[in-house]
Amino acid sequence: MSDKWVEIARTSSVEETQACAAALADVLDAGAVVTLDGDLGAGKTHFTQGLAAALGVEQAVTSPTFNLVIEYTDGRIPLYHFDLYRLDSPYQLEDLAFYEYVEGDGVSCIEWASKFPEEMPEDRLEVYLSVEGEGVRAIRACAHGSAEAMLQGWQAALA
Amino acid sequence: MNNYVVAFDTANEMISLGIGLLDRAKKTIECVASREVGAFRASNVKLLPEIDALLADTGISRGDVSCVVCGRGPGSFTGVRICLASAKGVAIGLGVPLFGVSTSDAQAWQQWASGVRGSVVVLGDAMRKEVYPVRYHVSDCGIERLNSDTVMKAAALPEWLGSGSDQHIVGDALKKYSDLCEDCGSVAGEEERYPTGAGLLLAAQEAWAKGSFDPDDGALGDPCVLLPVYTRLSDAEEHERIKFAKQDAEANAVEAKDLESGVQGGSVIRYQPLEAAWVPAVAAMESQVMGTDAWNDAQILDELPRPDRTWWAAFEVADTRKRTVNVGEAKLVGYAGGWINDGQVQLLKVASDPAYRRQGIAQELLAHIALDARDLGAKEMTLEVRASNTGAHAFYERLGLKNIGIRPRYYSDGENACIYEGPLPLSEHDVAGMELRLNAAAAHAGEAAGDRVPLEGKLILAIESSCDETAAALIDEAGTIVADVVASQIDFHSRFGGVVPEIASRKHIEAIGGVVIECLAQARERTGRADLSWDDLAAVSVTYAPGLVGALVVGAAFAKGLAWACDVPLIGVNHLEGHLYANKIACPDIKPPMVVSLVSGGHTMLVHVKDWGSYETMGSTLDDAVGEAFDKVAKAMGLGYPGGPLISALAEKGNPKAVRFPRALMHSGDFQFSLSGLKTSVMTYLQKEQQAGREINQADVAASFQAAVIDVQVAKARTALRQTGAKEFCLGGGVAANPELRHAYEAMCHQLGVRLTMPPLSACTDNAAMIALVALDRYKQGKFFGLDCDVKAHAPLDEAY
Repeated sequence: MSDKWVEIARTSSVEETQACAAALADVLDAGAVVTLDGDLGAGKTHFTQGLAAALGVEQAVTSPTFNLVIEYTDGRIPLYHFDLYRLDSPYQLEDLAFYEYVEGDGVSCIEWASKFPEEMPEDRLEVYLSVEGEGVRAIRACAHGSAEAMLQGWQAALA
Repeated sequence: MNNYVVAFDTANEMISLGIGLLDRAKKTIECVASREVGAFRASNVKLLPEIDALLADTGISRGDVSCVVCGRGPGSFTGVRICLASAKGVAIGLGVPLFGVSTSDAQAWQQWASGVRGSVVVLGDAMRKEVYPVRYHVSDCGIERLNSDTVMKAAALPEWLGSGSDQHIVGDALKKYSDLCEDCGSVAGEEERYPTGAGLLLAAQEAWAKGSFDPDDGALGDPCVLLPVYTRLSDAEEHERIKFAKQDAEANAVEAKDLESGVQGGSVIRYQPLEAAWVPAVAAMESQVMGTDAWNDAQILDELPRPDRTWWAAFEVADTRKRTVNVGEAKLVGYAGGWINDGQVQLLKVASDPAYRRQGIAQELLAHIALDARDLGAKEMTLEVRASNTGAHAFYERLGLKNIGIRPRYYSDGENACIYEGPLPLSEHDVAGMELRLNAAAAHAGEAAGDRVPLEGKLILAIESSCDETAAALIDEAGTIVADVVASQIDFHSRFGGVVPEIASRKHIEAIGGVVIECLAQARERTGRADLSWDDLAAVSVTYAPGLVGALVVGAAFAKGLAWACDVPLIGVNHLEGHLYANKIACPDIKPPMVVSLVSGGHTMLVHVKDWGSYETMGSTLDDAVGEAFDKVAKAMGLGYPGGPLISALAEKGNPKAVRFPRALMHSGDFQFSLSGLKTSVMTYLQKEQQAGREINQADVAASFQAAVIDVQVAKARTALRQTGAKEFCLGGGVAANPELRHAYEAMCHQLGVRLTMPPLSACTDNAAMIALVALDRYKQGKFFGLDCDVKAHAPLDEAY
């Protein structure tokens, strides 16, 4: 059964975090939802950068804190990068067309999804990045619903 | 005679376009061109260029267009609004009627045209695992719709569809749910999942036969009144209903606090969805006015949580400044309930306190019920009334309802009921139930009321819809604000304690046509030029950023439609730059370099204006905006929303030195602000005092909080002025209306020998006059936007655009 947290990797540099994300990118299909939470400075945006690069996105990926959502459409599948940090209420998600993106034909990568757990789709891969000491990051994941296959594919790719 | 109709729909991921040739004698529309273009999340960017291209390809000019048809949904709320706002702009600009057709009907008509006969189901994707289902019977004669627009859980589809039946299933929901439909009929392929231009035209032709379409009837096709089909309330309203239906009196009473009672005398009637905490009061009034047919507490409580019900109540509130209703501070004076079912709302109850009759309370309650019912898909109201209650009969007849029959012995005492039915009795306010503020900025431009405003050159229209104000203004080429109109939505947001984006977007689409037309009417009146028309436009300008995306897009789509129809350039304006220019309204000769403090609910920044168009943001807030902090503190103190005026009024009577709240970043040496710590510290203080059982002096807390905000604002402004050497200091944004802040800046500027400019209060808050002032400069510099421009949630002032 899913809904269990598993440790995916321990990384000790930005490049390793990005490589770990790149392995996930290879198993993502249209409609996939990856939520990203973790300590401040744990590398959520680095993770997304790795994901984007592996999807073939050539644009520079920056934190969408102000724009809340940025679309990258030049890769293998469109990437929708959200940052919900500055949102106060789930009603603001409607304004971002959040549900249209998340249910659309791309990969949605949602930073700070834990602010609105009830608004997240059932089928999703939760990723948590934590700082485990000097330069070391732990990357953990938890699959919900049909995201289980994604998680297994990711683990296999890293094995 | 103009013979063409342009039709389009952007309710989902496809832009559907059609051009039809009208045959007025036969009342038919021949499809000349039909085109579908994929546009996931990009219909605002692609729609007008696609319309322009299709007309060019078919060799038809704007002047040949006799009317506009657009799809009203159901579909993506934003998508449908883009369609309607663009259509309103085009129709108003061309001066032609606008008609709406159902996006679902257009798809059924497309099936008819491809020869499908029998049962057809159109399933629209409603997102979040829900669908918009409509079933049709399609025969050689056309399509017959078998149910009203509604929204349903996708999981319930197999049951709704019925198994093994012979039906053809189409629509964009199949993309996600075709597996749920497979056993219920034939599932359409990818090419049958969206409406087509040809389908839209067939739906319009059908409307022509039925009398709801006429290319030559401007009143029937009034572009202002057309609205989207939603079938759902906004999330915020849905959550509010769920919360209000809870019988947990304690949870609902949390916000109720003892306050000093009304300072200003008088009282006001406020309307709010009925909350469980008020049910005893409703039941008491029921037994007072409904006699043997009165409902008890349990019956009313059973109603509230039902999703197809809407209940509203009217309250007398003593403090006229308060826009929210709390138990203990208000008196229930009326209530009404409706049941929305298959395109109709059945009025279950309407009553008002006998002591408060003849104040229009019942009518206003019905208007609220009607508004919800409309958003939930109803088109008509029906109700029963006692045969003997002739006063009520006259009341319903005045609202446009008709007596269509009787139900014998309907009431428990054996009396007959008369059945009334008719169109929804929506409120008859000018523009979407909002108060209009007319010519506030124009009046400040130096003309005495009553004088004719001279007009030089052509006009630029400015539109502003970035947050919760729908505004329009007209400026001439000499820089005179000829007219300006603001419709404020505050009454629709205040009970939520802040602006709800989806409600803001809904109100913008309701208001935008009326606001723009009123603006032209004002310009005609003020200039004495009754012949002014959209032909006198040199350009159309619009706020494109920053702000709420769904709100901005309504103004932008409308502006594009109008600019395209009038064949004039489009000018995009940064909202923040508008706030800088607002100072010109107070002081036309003002010249950079200057320092501007911009403080509002969404912004807190110090800007160095080196020249018009050249800005440096010296610093801004790291967390909350000042207005946001006022709102949050006011909420914590139980004062209500918006917090600014409530706190400043209370602070007048308090001691600003009573509590020493922190002045964050006061000596940080830069121009950054941080308000979140101050807010937390006020909340902690309130909690500690409460726990210690000490009585809180609200006025002292308000004054001390306000002083902490002002001290930091003034200190940073002083440093900014010294550092830049600017001799002008200006204000902008809603918080600039705070009297204490104004006093503090007066003292500071006096001391520094700097000229202080403060825009009139009306120009501090959002308006379109300030957008028009920016637009005029950009017009002279030839800085135009394409019809493929997009709106942005965020756009720094420092970046040229």
